[in-house]
Amino acid sequence: MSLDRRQFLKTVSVLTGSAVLGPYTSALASGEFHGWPDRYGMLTDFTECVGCRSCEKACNEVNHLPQPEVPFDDKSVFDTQRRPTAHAYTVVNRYENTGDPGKPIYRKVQCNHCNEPACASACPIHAYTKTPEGPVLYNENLCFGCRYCMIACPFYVPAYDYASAFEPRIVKCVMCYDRIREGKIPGCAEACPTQSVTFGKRSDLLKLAAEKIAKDPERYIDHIYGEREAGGTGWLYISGVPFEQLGFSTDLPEKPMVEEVKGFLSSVPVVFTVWPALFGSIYAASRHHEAYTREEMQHQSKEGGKEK
Amino acid sequence: MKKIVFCLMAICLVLLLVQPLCAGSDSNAGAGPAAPSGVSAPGTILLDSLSRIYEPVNFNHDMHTSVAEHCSQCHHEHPSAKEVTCTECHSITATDFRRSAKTGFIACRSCHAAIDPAQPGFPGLKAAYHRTCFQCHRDMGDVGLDPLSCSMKCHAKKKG
Repeated sequence: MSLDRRQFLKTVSVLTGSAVLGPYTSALASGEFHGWPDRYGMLTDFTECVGCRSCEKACNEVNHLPQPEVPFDDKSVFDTQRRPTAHAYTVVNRYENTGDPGKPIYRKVQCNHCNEPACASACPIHAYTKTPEGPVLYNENLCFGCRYCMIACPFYVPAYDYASAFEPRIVKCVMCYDRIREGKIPGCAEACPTQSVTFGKRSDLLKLAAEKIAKDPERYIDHIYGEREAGGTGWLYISGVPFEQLGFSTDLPEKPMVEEVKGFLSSVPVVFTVWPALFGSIYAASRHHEAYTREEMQHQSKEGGKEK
Repeated sequence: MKKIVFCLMAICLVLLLVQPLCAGSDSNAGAGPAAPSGVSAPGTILLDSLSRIYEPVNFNHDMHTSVAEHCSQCHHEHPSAKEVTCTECHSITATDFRRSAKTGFIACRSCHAAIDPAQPGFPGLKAAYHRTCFQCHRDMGDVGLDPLSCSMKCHAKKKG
């Protein structure tokens, strides 16, 4: 294969250009996307929740999950702080109410359906999808069990199903995507006796949350959790006590988590493809040059010997 | 013998005549003329429109009327606002209540129906009921401490 000097330089400049500009152009392209319009979300109002665990029961039923060891009306589960598992996509935890000890605060935990999900960006085989409707879905048939999503999620949500070693799968709340498509509302929102879990368009829920806070500033703290955290989440929360008292991470960046690692991640393919080609070419060229010079020197010394 | 039969018949007749006057002391069932739609007479009311998981709730309206400060504490669309106590307008027996009720109450379900995602701020019927109850019963410690209290305090669990 012959490669002339002009063509070689052209190839090198194109590859170098894409290596340098690549991360920036891709970052700009995705930076213009601010989420699907009209996507659905949920709003949890902790001041309305009474910890009846109806949401947990409904979630169990609509997702055909196995019956739990402890019944749904047993309060002993509140003694520990639970996380969602492969058999419970949502759990309710109890927190002390320092302002009013007679009224403990209950926090429902489940996937927050981020606007730009970190799990989806970390998944090496694109098993996750942020749907235009709002829910973040995963394809369990694609999942091969690397568990990067578990590490990437800033809310520690995806759980792992260890039931089968040959069919590993990550499981989490999907905001009852199939029910939404059928025109129904998610199971937990339907079951909640006080509508403390409210389903609707995310934009409407943001307005509702702001209205509730403005109408009753003594009842609520002035913060809608999820409006901006980690680039904004589909699930929003309002509370009567600061969110750190309810175990929420309050130090999350306002940028989507993927922005934090985009520069690094997008440079990985470049490093593995362009760098070997570029530096390999330079090395080959310099070797060629050395060999040529050595040959030239030997030739000259031979000719010099003959002349003597 | 004939005298005894006659006396028994007379007693039965008297009882039949007196019975309507006593109606309403225990329940509104079958008492007086049919109430206009939307009017809930006091007594014990069976709340059964949502009874899927639990048995219907036997709601003792009489008792709540005696402790509520005013009708609009629960019936938020009631015209009395917050100035007049229930008993200033309404007698608590079923028949007298109906006679005294100038304005028909609007039943919760006439506005609050199924949850509508297009109006997330508007409570569905279930939330309308529960929020109304919880405004007092949460402070009383009946709810918010133990999930078992749902079936212990108000709803008997459906069997099977």
